[in-house]
Amino acid sequence: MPHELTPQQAIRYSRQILLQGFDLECQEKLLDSRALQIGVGGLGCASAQYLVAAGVGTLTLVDDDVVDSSNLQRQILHSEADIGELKITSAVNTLKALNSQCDISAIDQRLSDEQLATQLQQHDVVIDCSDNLATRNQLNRLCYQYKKPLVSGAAIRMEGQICSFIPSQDTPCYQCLSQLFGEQQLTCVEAGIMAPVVGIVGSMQALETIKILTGFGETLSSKLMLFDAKYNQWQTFTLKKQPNCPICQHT
Amino acid sequence: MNININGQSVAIVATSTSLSLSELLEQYNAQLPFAVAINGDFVAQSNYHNIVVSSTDMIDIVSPIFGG
Repeated sequence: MPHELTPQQAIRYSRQILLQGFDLECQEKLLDSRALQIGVGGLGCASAQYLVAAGVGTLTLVDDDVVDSSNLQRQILHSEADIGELKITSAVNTLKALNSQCDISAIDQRLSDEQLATQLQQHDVVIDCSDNLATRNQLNRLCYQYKKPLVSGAAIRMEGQICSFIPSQDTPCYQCLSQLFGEQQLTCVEAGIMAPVVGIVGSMQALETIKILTGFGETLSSKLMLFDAKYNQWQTFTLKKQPNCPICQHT
Repeated sequence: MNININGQSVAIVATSTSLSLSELLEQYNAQLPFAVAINGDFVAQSNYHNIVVSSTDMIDIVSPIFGG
């Protein structure tokens, strides 16, 4: 049985319910949904903030990092008083103040395959807000195995990318994308990042997540959206399943 | 011939009657790592040498992004 909105919730989420095609039904689906988000850095702060405000039912955050003063420029769930504390602590506190009805929990460690598998089975969607290729590959591998939709975002310098991977026979996985490149790793430390760029990409990830959870609108499955913040361009590319992909072509 | 690469018109010399994508990438001096899309579709690295590029194609050379 889907969760029925209380009158207070109907008022709280009225601006979404008013959207044609979203209606009460999609809001109820959202309230019944469980999202697992890896990372509460730049992307993760923006994504989690909108998911919680929009009314996702359950959100689990995973991050083992602590707040550094150099994070505050773009990681908007953490404040000056949180420096040195776990990111999940400040993230959960800020998010709970935003929406006390959202069931928010957090894990302060990097997950092993086994731990991740357990979490995946308890969630409907995974949001990848991580900052490294190893985690991205691990999430992809297990999401494919457990047939969980994966909303992937990444940002660096003045560029961002968003893509959703919804496991099926015809759709590509993250590895189909990453194998188009070499194996270079870059993080914000080395290359810099403009604060609102992670906010834009993280917000796009929240939007994708809401679409996947509710079935509203069209997702970015089999598509890669690139954002060039310097020259104000959005481009959407087609991404196909790679015939030699070690993850999704495994029969 | 002039080819549209990342939104800019770039002069590329075809050494034979047809220009392959790998020739184009070499002349453009594209720095690894990158992925290539032709008219919005990504191309596998293993196909670079046998894809023929024409002046009407839109080429995008894209850098990987992993940051969060």
